[in-house]
Parts: sequence; C-alpha cells; structure tokens
Amino acid sequence: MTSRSAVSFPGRGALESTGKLFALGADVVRLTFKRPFQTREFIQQGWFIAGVSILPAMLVSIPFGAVVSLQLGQVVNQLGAASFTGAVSVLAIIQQASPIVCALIVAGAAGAAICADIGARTIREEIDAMEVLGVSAVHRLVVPRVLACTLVALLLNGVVSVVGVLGGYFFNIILQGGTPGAYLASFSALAQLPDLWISEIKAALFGFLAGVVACYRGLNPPPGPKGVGDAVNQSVVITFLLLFFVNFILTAVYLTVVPPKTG
Amino acid sequence: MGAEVVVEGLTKSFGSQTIWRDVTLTLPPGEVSALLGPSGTGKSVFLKSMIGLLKPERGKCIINGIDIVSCSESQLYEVRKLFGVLFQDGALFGSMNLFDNVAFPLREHTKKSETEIRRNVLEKLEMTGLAGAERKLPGEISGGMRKRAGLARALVLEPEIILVDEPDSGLDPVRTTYISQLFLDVNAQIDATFLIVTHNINLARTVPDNIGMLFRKELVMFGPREVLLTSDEPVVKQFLNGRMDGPIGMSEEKDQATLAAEKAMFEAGHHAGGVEEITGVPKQMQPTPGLPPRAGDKRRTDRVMTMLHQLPPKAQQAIIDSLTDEQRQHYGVRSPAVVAAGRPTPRPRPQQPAGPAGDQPGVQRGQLPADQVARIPENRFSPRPPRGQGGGQ
Ligand SMILES: Nc1ncnc2c1ncn2[C@@H]1O[C@H](COP(=O)(O)OP(=O)(O)OP(=O)(O)O)[C@@H](O)[C@H]1O
Ligand SMILES: [Mg+2]
Repeated sequence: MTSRSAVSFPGRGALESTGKLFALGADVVRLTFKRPFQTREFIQQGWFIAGVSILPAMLVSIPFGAVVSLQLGQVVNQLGAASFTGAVSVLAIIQQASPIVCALIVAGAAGAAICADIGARTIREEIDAMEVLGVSAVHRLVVPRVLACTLVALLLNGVVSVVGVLGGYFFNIILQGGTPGAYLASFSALAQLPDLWISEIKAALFGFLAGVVACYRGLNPPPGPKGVGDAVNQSVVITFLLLFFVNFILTAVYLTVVPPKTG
Repeated sequence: MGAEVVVEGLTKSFGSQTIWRDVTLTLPPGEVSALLGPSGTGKSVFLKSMIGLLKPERGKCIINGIDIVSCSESQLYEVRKLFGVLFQDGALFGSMNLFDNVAFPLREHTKKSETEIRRNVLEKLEMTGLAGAERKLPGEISGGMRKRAGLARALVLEPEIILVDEPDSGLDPVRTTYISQLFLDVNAQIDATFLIVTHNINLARTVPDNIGMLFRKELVMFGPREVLLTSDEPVVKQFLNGRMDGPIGMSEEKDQATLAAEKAMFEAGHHAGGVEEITGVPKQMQPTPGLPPRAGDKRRTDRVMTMLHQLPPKAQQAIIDSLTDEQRQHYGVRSPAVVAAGRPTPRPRPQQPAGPAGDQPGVQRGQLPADQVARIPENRFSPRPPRGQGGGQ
C-alpha cells in the first residue's frame, strides 16, 4: 500500500502537472503501437484538423513570408550583401517561420477544439465510463488525435513553406527590386537539405506537443463547465510557451550539430 | 455466480477533506445490496473508488483476489471487464446514438458479428423500455431515458458485478419500480452482485438483500436489510422517514445548538416533514414469475441464518417472520407466534453456546459494533448449516 506524502511547497502543482503531461506524452507513444489502431478516428480527426487549419495557415503565411523577406532584405542590403537576400529569407521562412506558424495554427484552431471536446466528455463522465468499460481513453481518443495533429502539422509545414517562400520571392522581386536570378542562386548556394529536414522535424514535434497539451488539459479540466473553457484557454497558452522554448532548444542544437554550408 | 467484493478499511480524502474513512464491508456474491446516505456523503465517490477511477489513500478493495487500490493498470482493465456501471448521469457517449452506445462494449470486447450485436442490443433496449429510440442521440432524449440507456449499456456484457448510482433519480415512481423489477430479474438470470446507491426509500425497503448507510464520514452500518429497516438509530430513522427532525441537516450534520433550536420548533408544532411513520420490514420484491429463483436469495438466507444470533432482536424477529414455515423447519427456528408469546429475544438454536457478552442481542442498541454487522462471514455456506457449530465467523 502506498501512502502518498502530502508535503506541499510552492510550485508543487506545476511540477505535478508537468510530470503528468510527460507521462501522457509517453503513454501516447507507447499506445501508438497497441492494436487495434483507431484508424477511423485518426482519419476523421486528421480531416477535421486539416479542414480548420489549411486556410488560416496559408493566409498567415503569405504576409509572414513577405514581412520576413522585406525586413531581412532591408538589413542585408544595408550590410551590402544584397545578393544573398534570397538565401537568408528562404532559410528564415523554412526553418523558423513555417514550423511555428503551423504549430500556432494547429494549436489555436485544432488544439482548442480537441481540448473542448475532450473536456466536455470528461465532465460528462464519458471518459470515466469508457475507462470502466475497460477501454483506455488514451488509446481510443488521445492517440488518434495527437497523431492527427502531428501529421497535419507536418503536411501543413510543406504548404506553408511553399506559400511563404513564394510570398517572400514576390515581395522581394516586386517591391525591393531584387533580381530573380540572384535570389534563386544565393538560395541554392547557402541552403542545404538538412534545413528542410529540421523544418519538418520541428513541425511534427510541435504538432505532437499541441496535441498532447490539448488532450492533457481536456482530460484534467478544472471542475465545472467553466473549467472546460479555462482548460481550452490554458491549453493554447501552454502550447505557445512550450513551442517557443522547444524551438529555441532545437535551433540551438541544430546550429551546433549541422555545419553551415559555405557557399 | 457473481464475484464477491471485499472492502477493508477504505479511506478517501480530497486534499484535506476526508470523504469517508475505514469503510469495511463485503458485498456477498450474487446478492443485491443498497447503499444509502444523505447527499454529499460520498456514495458516488465510493462507487468510483470500487472501480479504480479514484484512488483511496488507505485500505483494500478485493475482487477475485485482485486489490483494486494497488493493482497494476493492466490488471485494473482486466478486473473492470467484470463490472457494469451505471453512472449518476448516465454517462452516455454524446457523439453516438443509443444503439452504438449500447453496442460499444460488445464491439470493444467481443468478437460477435454485427447481427448478433444487433439482436443483443435491441433486446437490452427493449428490456429498459427504449425500443424505437435506438437512433436518437443522448442529447435528444429525456433524463430518465438517458438513465435507462446507461443501464442497458451496463447490462449488455452480462457483468458479474453491477454498480448502479441512483437509478431512481430522474425517473417517475412507476418506472423506478419497473427498474427495480429489472434489477431483480437480471439478478435471477445472471446471478450478478449488485450495489445500488439510492435515495429512494421504497426501493431501499423492497429491493435489496443488504443495506448499508454512510453518514458522518463513516459507514454507519451494513448488513441484512432487516437490521437497518428495524434500526432505532436516529440517523437511520430520520433518513427512512425523510424528516427534518434528527441529526441530518441541510448541509453537514447539525451541531448541538441547531439541534436544540429545531427541537423546540418542532415541539411548538412546526411540521417536521415526512408523511407517516415508516417502520417494519415490507416484503421483498421477487423476480418476475417464470424466471428461475434467485440463487443469491437462497445463499443469503443461509448466510443470515448462521449469523442470526448476532443480530439485534428486532432484526431477528423480522427475519424469522419473513421465512416460510418450511424454511423455519429447515433452519430449526420457532414460528413467530411462539417467539412473540415466549421470549422477547428468540434464540434460534437453543443448543448453541452463548457468545461473549457483547454478542448478547439485547445489549445492542441501534448502532452495531462494526465487526458484527459490517463483516459478513467469508466461508461459503452449505445449504444446511451444521447444527451447533456456532454462527457467523
Ligand atoms: N473530484 C473531486 N474532487 C474534490 N472533491 C470531490 C470530488 N468528487 C467528489 N468530491 C466531494 O466528495 C463529496 C461526496 O461527493 P459524492 O458525489 O460522492 O456525493 P454523493 O453521496 O454521491 O451525493 P449525491 O447523493 O448527491 O449524489 C462531496 O463533498 C464532493 O464535494
Ligand atoms: Mg452521487
């Protein structure tokens, strides 16, 4: 028999939640390989998430690509390296902007919906009922949702990168008077394949995080219907905070591990 | 036969708030037990602890040799397959229609074909009076219907243990009686162990074999129905009669001052609520004619007769009254008339040695020592207990 210690200290709740969040993440990974895989639920959720994310993601990525390339174009011009504008803005968009945009959209649009859905099921005791019927709610509900978030973020990243780069290209050529040839040449001079990989890895990881956080908050909402609302709110905020933190770490690791291409 | 559930010293708190402590009881296999108690005493929490949805801090809850409180997650999922649970609000899956809700456990845990599932589900929906509503979503039906659909889902796997949280809430009195009949019929058919949490006094008086009551964070009593129904304990009497006059208050239990003030008020003529004095042990409902007799009922009679001498005199009387002449002969107890005319405390088996002083039925008043009532003998009973072997444990 375990008698749990009831020592309380500041930050205990936060630590506990963090631990449980990680435990849920680990459970998701473990139960992903448990048969039977909930294919139907996965496809339904994937379809839903893609449906709510594609349009906002594209709409955000055009101005985002433009802003990045305008701003960078300006600075690079001042430094006298105008011919490298293309490389700089494309790298920035693919490595940084695109995964973050994807994750923000997936967390904001899909994560919020997932959190609200699961939260409502929790307070209506549906989750309890499912557990009592001997069916793991993590296996049945959380795994397909998290995997759907991951997959959609990954695919969305491709779309956003393309749209963002096109937007950047367009604005650089039209507004800043860049030359298309230099733009493309510099790009292939400095960019390399790992840049694309890291972008996709980031997007997938962010999508996974968004899914896990949304489901975690949905499974553990503060009591009452208002609690579900709060949970949705918190899930989005927590995902954003985590995102930028994880992005920082990944970027730091990537820049150390992968040697820059010297053109 | 249904599984036996042994609960020992269970204690549950949320933070610093203790819900109940040291709850010890045994749900005898195949019998119908009821748990009463004022709102907020933690009856729902007790049910959830029994199926491992909440983790009690101390104690054990043993089913088929597995302790729910400390077992691993995979064991928990295995044990849960023995359970059918009806939650207080039905807990249907909101995105599925009634048919899919009831079919869910079958699709998850059995390899039945769709036609078989269909037959099974429609039968259960018919049983709970929901035929024709199977395409409706839970949001489109009344509270009582949700309750019944939840019950249909709980019954569909023919579980060994059925836990029911307030079957009567949201149902009219007639449907409540039909549901009670349904419980007894199911019990007769599959011999499942039942635990029914209820506020409904009619149901509590006529359906269960055993009754327990939670109050003041404790299990006040748990034992054969006759014990609680004849009890002189003020809490029990107040609860059965639904009066304001007694230790149960609106929020928590009353303090001395409130109690005195209220007493004065009632003495001055204020109506304390309740309609008429509820006393005595009414006849228990029986399975619908044509069904097999309840095996649990027979086991219970054997069990109760072996512990008869430990029960309070009024309960003994009620039990003997409820026996048929044949049974009285079988167990060697005297007919009620003789007992009533003779000694006030019937001694069913005169040749048996008197227990220790604490066992004297006359000594007990209302509140029973926990070890006598709350613990039911673990040994299986042969249909005819050997004479003179002493009852109970
Ligand atoms: N998840 C929880 N967290 C904290 N406290 C809880 C939780 N669930 C229940 N409680 C508390 O436990 C107590 C018992 O609740 P419970 O729902 O078991 O009462 P009940 O006996 O079923 O009442 P009712 O007859 O009204 O259904 C209440 O005081 C409630 O506030
Ligand atoms: Mg309750």
